Amino acid sequence: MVYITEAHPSDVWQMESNVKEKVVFATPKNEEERAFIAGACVRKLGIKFPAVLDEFGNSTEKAYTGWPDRIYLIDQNGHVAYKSRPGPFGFKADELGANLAKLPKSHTSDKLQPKPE
Amino acid sequence: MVFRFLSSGASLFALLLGIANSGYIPQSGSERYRGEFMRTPSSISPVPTKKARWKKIAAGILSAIFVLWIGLVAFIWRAMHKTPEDFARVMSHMPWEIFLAVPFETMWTRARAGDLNIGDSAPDFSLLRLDKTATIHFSEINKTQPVVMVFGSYT
Repeated sequence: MVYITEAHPSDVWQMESNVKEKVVFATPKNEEERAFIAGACVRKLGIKFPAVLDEFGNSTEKAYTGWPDRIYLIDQNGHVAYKSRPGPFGFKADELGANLAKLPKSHTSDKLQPKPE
Repeated sequence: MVFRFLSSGASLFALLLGIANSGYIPQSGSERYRGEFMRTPSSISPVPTKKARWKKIAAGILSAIFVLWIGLVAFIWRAMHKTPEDFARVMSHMPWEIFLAVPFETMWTRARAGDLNIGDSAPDFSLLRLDKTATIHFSEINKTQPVVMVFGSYT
């Protein structure tokens, strides 16, 4: 997970759903504050996979047009194999699953293979 | 000038509504002016009925709404191309109905398409892990396996 700039901070564009779910954070003013919110996100959502923090200039978000949320699959050759449409409309995990299944078996570790339901 | 603009808008709208041939809405600028210059003192102008007047008013109102709607779409489209912070600031002043009033999802998908396409080389980056135990070099972890990247935030 690449933690990027907030989508709905309380001081800019807060959503009712944020208030209901008690996810109310103002725009972080520095990297430390962003890290604090990101930590809360990972803990409360129980995210198990590695999470990195985009630097405060948002260089990674800009390179990948990741805001507000987006999924990428990069193959072992370093090429984009799947790019979701921008969130929230285009954030679809099932599309990722289908594209993971298309990758050659030799390119995927067991961790990346979608689990059969 | 404004009236002429609205009249041409009215023609377009009337065509869409199937009332272009009602006879009371100018078909085109040139035809309208030709009619005015060729008018002779002996010619008798048709007296518009009450129904026709209302049609003309309705077409004018619809045209005005259409022009306003185009302006709104252009405004939102421009905002979508700004930085996330600026876009969020603009949207914070918008009522939720805006999502119904404009083709938001289509516009958003196109505005945020980005430059990176399927098959392109993924840009490299080095970012600190949240637990601050290490710096992740993307190209290093991508050497041995494919990588799924989920961009997102808590809010």
